[in-house]
Amino acid sequence: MKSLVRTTFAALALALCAAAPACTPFHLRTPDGFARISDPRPSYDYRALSAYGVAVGVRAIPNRENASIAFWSEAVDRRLQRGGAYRPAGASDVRTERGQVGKSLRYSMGDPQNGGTYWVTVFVTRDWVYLVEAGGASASFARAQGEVERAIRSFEGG
Amino acid sequence: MSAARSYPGYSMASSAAGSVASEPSRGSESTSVDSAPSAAPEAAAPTTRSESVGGAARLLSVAARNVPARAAHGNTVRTTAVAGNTTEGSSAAVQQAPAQVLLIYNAQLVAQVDHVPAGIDQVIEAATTMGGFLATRTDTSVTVRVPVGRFREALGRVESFSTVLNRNVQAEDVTEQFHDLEVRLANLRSVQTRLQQFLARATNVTEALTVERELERVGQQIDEIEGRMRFLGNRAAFSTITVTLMARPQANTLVARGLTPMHEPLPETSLPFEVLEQLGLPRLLLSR
Repeated sequence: MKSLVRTTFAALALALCAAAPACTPFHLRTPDGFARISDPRPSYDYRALSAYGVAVGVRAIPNRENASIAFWSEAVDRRLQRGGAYRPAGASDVRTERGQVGKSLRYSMGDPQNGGTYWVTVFVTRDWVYLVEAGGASASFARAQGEVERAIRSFEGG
Repeated sequence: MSAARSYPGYSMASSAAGSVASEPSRGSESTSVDSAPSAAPEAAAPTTRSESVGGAARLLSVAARNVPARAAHGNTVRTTAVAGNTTEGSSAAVQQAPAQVLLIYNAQLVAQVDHVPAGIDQVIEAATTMGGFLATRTDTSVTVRVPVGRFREALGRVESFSTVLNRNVQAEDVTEQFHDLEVRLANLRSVQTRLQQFLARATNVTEALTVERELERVGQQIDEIEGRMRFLGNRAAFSTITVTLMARPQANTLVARGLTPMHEPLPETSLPFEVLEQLGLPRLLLSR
């Protein structure tokens, strides 16, 4: 009886952890010069900011539909191009330090001098979809680009 | 008075005003649409805007109107200054008539979108990418300010991701009001200069104090007019767009009610993932 209670409790704790955004199983190394925001919810599961206004954020969504990375990257791209505010600036495959493959979608907004840069990198595992967003004013983002790329390569999603 | 003027806080609008002179016609316009026409009618701008002599005459009439206003205060110094200004201005203004028109654009749109919060984000995004900014926001409406030169583009952008049900565009011409202020400002500055000269020549304390008080009063009036001119310049430089958003009725609701129109274009598939609607740079940068 005691072991049954213990097992039930452990299963419940795991289920709660899996359901809670803070427990989503991923890791991203905070870029140098950025501060990790301690409570990024409700919008994000991870968020870090540089002092000069560049942000990196991660959202983890349960992959209940077992959709592929092709589906998710198309869906993200379609959504961002729908309103006409985001101009595609490149799409490429990325491979993390742990060998995980993702799709990097890059966009620009507004004019080159005063506009913004916005990246979404999509990682898909069997259970989770991860959207790693990065962006800021283009001039500021250019300063942080190397660090942001290193952070994305450090990503590890379970 | 020189016809080549620079409006305080109006550097953007002064260059853009020409480009928008063919935008919504002077005065007020109200349009309700079922099928979406172009953002603003290309109605011909009033001809007086391009008639340089007419503009100069208007300017002179504004200056002339100001003379009795000042004379009514019973200050001979100011009356003299106005007269001098008007004489100087008459030849210069006729030669170089003002071509700048100061219009304040306001638009109110009522539109349908699939997802209201995402639609509001898209309006803000559109404004910020055009060099504008968010003014106010509620759960169902948003007011943004966009540079006047991109007013039409901004309206077009909103239409690109929504179905506009009602559109109300107004253009308020404040050119004359601004010129009035400008003339009054020039006159007050002349008065100020004269008073400063009087103050320098004051022979006793009583005289000096009297002039000093008058100087203070004139200074306050100058500040008020400059503030008003800055306000008008800012209102003209950035047009105001208010968008009230409503959720678009879902296709299955229409089917359930038997309301699906026969020739309705196929609806765009909307993916049932809320996270997609939450994407975007503004949210990433401003997320709380």
